Amino acid sequence: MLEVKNLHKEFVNKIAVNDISFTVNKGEIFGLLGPNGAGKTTTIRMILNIILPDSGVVLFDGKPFTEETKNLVGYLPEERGLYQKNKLFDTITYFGSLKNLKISEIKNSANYWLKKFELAGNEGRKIEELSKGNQQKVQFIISVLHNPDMIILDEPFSGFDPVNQDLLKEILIELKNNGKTIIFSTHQMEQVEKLCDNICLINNGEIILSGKLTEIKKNYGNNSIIIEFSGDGSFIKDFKGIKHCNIFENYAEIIVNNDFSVKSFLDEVNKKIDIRKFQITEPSLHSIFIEKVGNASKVKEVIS
Amino acid sequence: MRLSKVLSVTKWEYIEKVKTKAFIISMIITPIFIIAMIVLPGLLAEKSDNDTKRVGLVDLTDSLSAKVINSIESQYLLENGKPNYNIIPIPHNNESEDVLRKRVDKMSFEGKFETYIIIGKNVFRDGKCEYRGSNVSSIRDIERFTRSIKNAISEVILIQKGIKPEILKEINRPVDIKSIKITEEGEAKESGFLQTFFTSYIFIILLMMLIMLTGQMLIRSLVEEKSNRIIEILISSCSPTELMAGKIFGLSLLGLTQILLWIIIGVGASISFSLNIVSLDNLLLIIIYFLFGYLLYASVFVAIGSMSNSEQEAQQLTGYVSMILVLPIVLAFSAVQDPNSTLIRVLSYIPFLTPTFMILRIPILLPPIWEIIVTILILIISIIFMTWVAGKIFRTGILIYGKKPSLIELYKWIKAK
Repeated sequence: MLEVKNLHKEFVNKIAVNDISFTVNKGEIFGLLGPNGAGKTTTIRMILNIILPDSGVVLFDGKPFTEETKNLVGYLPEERGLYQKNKLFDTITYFGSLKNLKISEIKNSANYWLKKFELAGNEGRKIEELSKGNQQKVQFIISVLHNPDMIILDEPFSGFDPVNQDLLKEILIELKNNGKTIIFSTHQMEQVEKLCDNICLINNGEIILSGKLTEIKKNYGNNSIIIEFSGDGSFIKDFKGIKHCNIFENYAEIIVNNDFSVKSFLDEVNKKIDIRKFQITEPSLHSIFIEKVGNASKVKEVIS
Repeated sequence: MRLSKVLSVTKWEYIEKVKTKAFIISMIITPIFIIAMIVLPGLLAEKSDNDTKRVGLVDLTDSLSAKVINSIESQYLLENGKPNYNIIPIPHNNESEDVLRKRVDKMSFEGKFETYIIIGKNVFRDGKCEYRGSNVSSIRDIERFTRSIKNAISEVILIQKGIKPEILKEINRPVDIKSIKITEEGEAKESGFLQTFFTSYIFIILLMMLIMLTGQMLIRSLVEEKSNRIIEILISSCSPTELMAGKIFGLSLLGLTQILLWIIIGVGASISFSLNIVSLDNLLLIIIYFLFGYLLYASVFVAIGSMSNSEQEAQQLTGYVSMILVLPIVLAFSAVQDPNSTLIRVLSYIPFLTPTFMILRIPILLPPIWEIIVTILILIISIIFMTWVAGKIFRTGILIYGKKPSLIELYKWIKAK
């Protein structure tokens, strides 16, 4: 469906994207991950022909991405915005017509999606009269209005409340089941874990991890421990054999080395704090992300 | 470039802007403002008095007052046939001039008359007189009084030299000059200085207001699209060239709508007030310069809008543009006096000044045909070049956020493939 080959882009004094290649198959949900400033948005813009790469190619169904291809792709940019003073339906009509839709097609499709997002009846209202969440729904509708083969969503979940996040998740799965290809970038690893087939993790413009999500996790093995507790858990990080750990107020996730002794760790922890849950598991994507990106403190800021 | 996408953008830019309050208000306010600005000073300056003015006259020579009074009162009449001025002779009691002034000033404040004239004692030698009052600003009044006193003085001198009064009357007969503008077709038409002047003036102001108004709208929409990233959705649907072309077409349509409405309002106003302030000779030529000028400036605004991050930032740049646009108005007066001056001619070959300066020159004195052809060619080439430059700046600028680009960066954008 989509092949990205050796994309490279330099800005004034910074390499934004360095030799990135990946393939997205038809009908899959592909996660493009990475901390802020990693080059995700630049990559997406180059895929969409919004900016030109210095070198490298983007192939869509085996052919170079051209202006005509834009009609087959939907895009939700990261930073949200719409014409505030214009009416909802006029706005949708404009963006639909830019994708070469006829007015009747726009009407049908808009009705379907507005109903789905519980926005029917608001067609005549100005965008500025809608809540932020509803504006975001309108933007999503604009990206899928023309029934595109491929949908690129930059941080689709941010700004939605949990109810709407679930709604969006359902819709994405539905779109996938209808054979649509979805690429999305996000910082919210749980969404990725629930949705993505393949992922690609970018840092400083380079791919540091990519492949099938299930395989990536399997490669990490059952070397992860999750504890839920009450008390002061700060001592955990000093325990022998810990490769990496994330300690929160009453939750800790630990990635361990081979010389780690589960038994003595459990004994020690049991003495000092009150354990509510103790689980040995494969690591969460969250932990993998933080371990891979390295600079944990910087990333924590991003994730929170 | 695909026409359907261009038209989608054009339609949106046109319809959504025509509907805005700002456009509707300016559509109505601007012509009213222009008409008021042009008509009011004219009406006020040319307006004749409605009532007879009372003017005091102190004649320190004791030999001129009768002649002056007679000449002023009989020569200048109001529309209803009454004399325009009622001259009240004031005797002087051989007091000193300071005392006299104080005394007569007081009379004026008491309302016996509004203003008064003192004919100086030595007026035959030094010509000195005084015109005093709380409001002595009417140039027309002063000019009339001066002429009457001067005539009276020459009369007295000539009579002393033995010239007969009948001959004097013939000497002093006023001359009435009618200015008539001739064209090569041989048609002679009565035309005033003000009319030619206002024709240039009105078209330049219209062009200026139109460019500034629609230019601001373009900038506002571009800055909005940039700041909330709508531009990314647009560019993921059509090419930057299509977007820019659509915007310029939409803007031009908007401009044409506005001109059309202004013409309707203007024609309506001139019919209902029976004003004839605009000479419509060579209107087609003026409109050609008008449209080309508009297109040239539209590309400038596209460039400004795409490299600005906020309206304030854009306003600095549009400030320079409006200065260029105002220049011909500043020079209009000297152009009217000498439309063939080297300065005016040279300036009309500078692309950004061509439209306004040619509009300034055409009604005053039609430039030779080769000048018209050359300037139109210059304009067309500049429009093509500027649109190309604006397209380059647009392509890069709309996706760059943050600080305003330096000239070197702009040059790089233009050179980029």
